[in-house]
Parts: sequence; C-alpha cells; structure tokens
Amino acid sequence: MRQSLLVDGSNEELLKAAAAGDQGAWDALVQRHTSLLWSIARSYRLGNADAADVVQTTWLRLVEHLDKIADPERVAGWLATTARRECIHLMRRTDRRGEATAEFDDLPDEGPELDAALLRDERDAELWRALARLDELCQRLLRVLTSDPPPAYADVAAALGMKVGSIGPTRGRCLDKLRALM
Amino acid sequence: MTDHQPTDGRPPDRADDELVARLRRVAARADPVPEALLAAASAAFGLRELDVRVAELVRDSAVGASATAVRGLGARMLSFEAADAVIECEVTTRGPRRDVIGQLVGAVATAVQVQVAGVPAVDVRVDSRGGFSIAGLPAGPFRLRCALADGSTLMTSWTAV
Repeated sequence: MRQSLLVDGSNEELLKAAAAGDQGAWDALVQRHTSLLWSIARSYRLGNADAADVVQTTWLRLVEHLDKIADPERVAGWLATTARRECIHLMRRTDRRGEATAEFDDLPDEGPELDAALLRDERDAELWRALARLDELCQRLLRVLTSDPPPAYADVAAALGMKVGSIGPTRGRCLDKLRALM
Repeated sequence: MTDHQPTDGRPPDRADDELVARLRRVAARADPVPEALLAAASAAFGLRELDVRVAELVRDSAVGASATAVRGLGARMLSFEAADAVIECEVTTRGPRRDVIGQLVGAVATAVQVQVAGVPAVDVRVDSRGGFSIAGLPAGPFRLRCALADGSTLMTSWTAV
C-alpha cells in the first residue's frame, strides 16, 4: 500500500486520481471502503472465502469501471450496490450447489458465535452474541452500520436495498431489540 | 460520515449512537477485514486495462432460471455481450475448481487468455470456430481476455465462479 497525498481527499478526488493511474489514491479508496464491503458480505452470513470473493470481485469491477462511474462522490453507494448484488448471486448459486457446498470449510453461520471467543471483555462478547440472536433484518442493518468508518445512511440503504428514510427508524427499533436481549 | 443523521420522525438518540459506536469497536475486533483482502484489493488496481472493450455479463443461469430448472443440471451458463460479440461459457463445479467450456461468437480471436487475480494469466487454445475450454480454474473471480483479429481487445467483466 502506498500513501497518497490525497488520503483525506473526497471520493471524487480519489476516483479521479485513481482513473489517472494513482495507485496511492486507489489504496485510499480501498482503506476507506473495504470495511463497508466486508460488513455487507458478513451481513449475508457468508463465510471467509465467499465474503472475500464478493469484496474482491467488487473492487475488480470498480477497476473495470473507473472511467464510467456516473456520480464519483457516491462511489461508496456504487460499491455497496455491487457487493449486495454479488452476495445475492452467490447465495443463489450456493443454494443450488446443494451437497457440493459440504466440502468447503467456510460454510456460513461460523461467524458470530465462534468469533465471540476473540473478545476478551465478557460484556463485549455478550453484546456480539446478542447481535447474532436478532432477526435477519436487524442483524444485517447493524452489521453494516457498524463498519468503519461509519457509513453514510445513503450507502447503508444501497447495501441493504432499503429506502434511505427507513434506515434511522429501523436502526432505533433494532437497537431496542438488542437491548432487550441483554 | 457520522451516525448523527436526520431520520424521519424519531430523532437520533445519544444512547443509540453510543451503542452503535460500541458495536463498531466490537465488530472491528471480532470480525476484522482480513489483511490479505486489503492487499488483494490494492493489487486489483494493477489489473486495470486501458483501451479494451468489456463484454458485460448479461445472463447467468444461476440467477435467472427457476431453482428447479437449474438444480441437478450441474452446469452454470454465463453470457457476456459486447456490441459486436458474444462469449458463452458453461461452468461446472469440481470441488474448489471450475471447468469452463466456452465459445466466442461474432468475432475472431487470435489469442485468448484466462485471468484470475493474483496469478499470471494463462493462455487458452481456441479452435477455428471460437470454441475453447479451461480446466481447473480456481473458485473466485475470473475474466477472459480475447485478442481479436481486427487488433482490438475484448475482455469479459470480472465474474466470481
């Protein structure tokens, strides 16, 4: 990874510089948005290998479309939409692979339960386990909302295929449910 | 980029913001982005190709058809289209590997390569009718690079198989 002077630049500046061949600007985009893409793949409960394929395919598609992004400032929304579609395609394919998936060691659902062991603080582990007991929509929303840096609601909406106006109210309801579980 | 964003009706609650911030810290420790993935995403930039045409994925049997139509068939059909050419691929799963049988229609290729991120591209033999086959492709995103008889280059859009 190379440092770019543009590391704090706007998405539009970074995209423009990357399109002109600046690897540092590209890396700044990668650093800024990969957590969001990873959280989207995880929100669909994809295992490590499938989640990595979704994120990598999404970045490869952006490389391919660097000169064709209609609204460069909204590149995070473009990335989120691309990643969500990849997740949906991959899940449908996985459904149909049926028995064949059994030979992979990265089946979904390994996620939250096992990873709680990595949390030394028992209250954090409890919070992480409570998250895994929420309904699917709440799990998905909270997982994406907690990517780092904090995502804009417009990008969360793109990640979930929801209306932007419903993100705030749904967040409130999901956090209430989470508290009730603890 | 902040959690303090306008919502319709319910004003954002300070306790809610704090809980989300705490969840973010927990998620960063319990389920961090793998370092290798950041490195791969950085390296993706090196796979940029200028002055090529991209054949977009326009049909994917794993997505379009009904589940019953596809289940048991084993093969996945992918169609990539550019203005003047079509590339059809039939992908079969063999454990972590994929076998591809395909055909380029509407254009004549002088050379075809298959590309997987992180590995050098591999030459693919094309017969006189545009047919080709690839055995043992690793699962994950791949693309085909076709050097055409008219001197231009056609690439399929990155597709995870």
